[in-house]
Amino acid sequence: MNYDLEIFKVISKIKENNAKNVLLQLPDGLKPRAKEIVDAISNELDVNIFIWSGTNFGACDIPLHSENAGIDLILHFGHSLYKK
Amino acid sequence: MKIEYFETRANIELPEITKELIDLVKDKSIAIFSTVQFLEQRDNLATKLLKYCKIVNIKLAHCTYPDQILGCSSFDSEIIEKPELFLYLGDGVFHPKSLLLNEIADEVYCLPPINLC
Repeated sequence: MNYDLEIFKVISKIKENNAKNVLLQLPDGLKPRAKEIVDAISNELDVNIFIWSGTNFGACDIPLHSENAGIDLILHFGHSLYKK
Repeated sequence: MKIEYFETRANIELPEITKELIDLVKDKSIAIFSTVQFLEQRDNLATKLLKYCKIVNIKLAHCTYPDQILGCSSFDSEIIEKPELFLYLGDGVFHPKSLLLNEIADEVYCLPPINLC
């Protein structure tokens, strides 16, 4: 299945947020494409990239505690914003 | 800490609708839900089915878009018409199960795009 990883937007958002430590969070179906995203970011920007290996059941399933590890931006793939 | 969302929409085209699907929906009011990845294909499918049935558009709670489904989907208070038939366009059964568990639907027909294309 061909999914649009929105690489251009990914790079724009990292720049816009002036992020240095970025966490990629992908649903299981997209985890095999994590390296593709890492490579695309690394080609453009000098940032530390981490990959969340835990769950991604929805936009309500965000590893907020990663902030304690110095993450300043989470790139969450596969869901839209969770409306309260 | 900031969170940015990437919807990773699917770049696929669904095949023509089948006679089996037409027979299933004929003269009924139906709702077609999909995950955010397949909303464009969902709209195309709804357009094709319009001449055979009535399409009911529903915005579920916590969703960004109408006819989108989440794993925790429940009816918004605004729902005024419950469709006779529920279709789900998307992968797996995690999402349509929420329609059953939240007693929105008694049964849901699943159309997995990977099998349709």
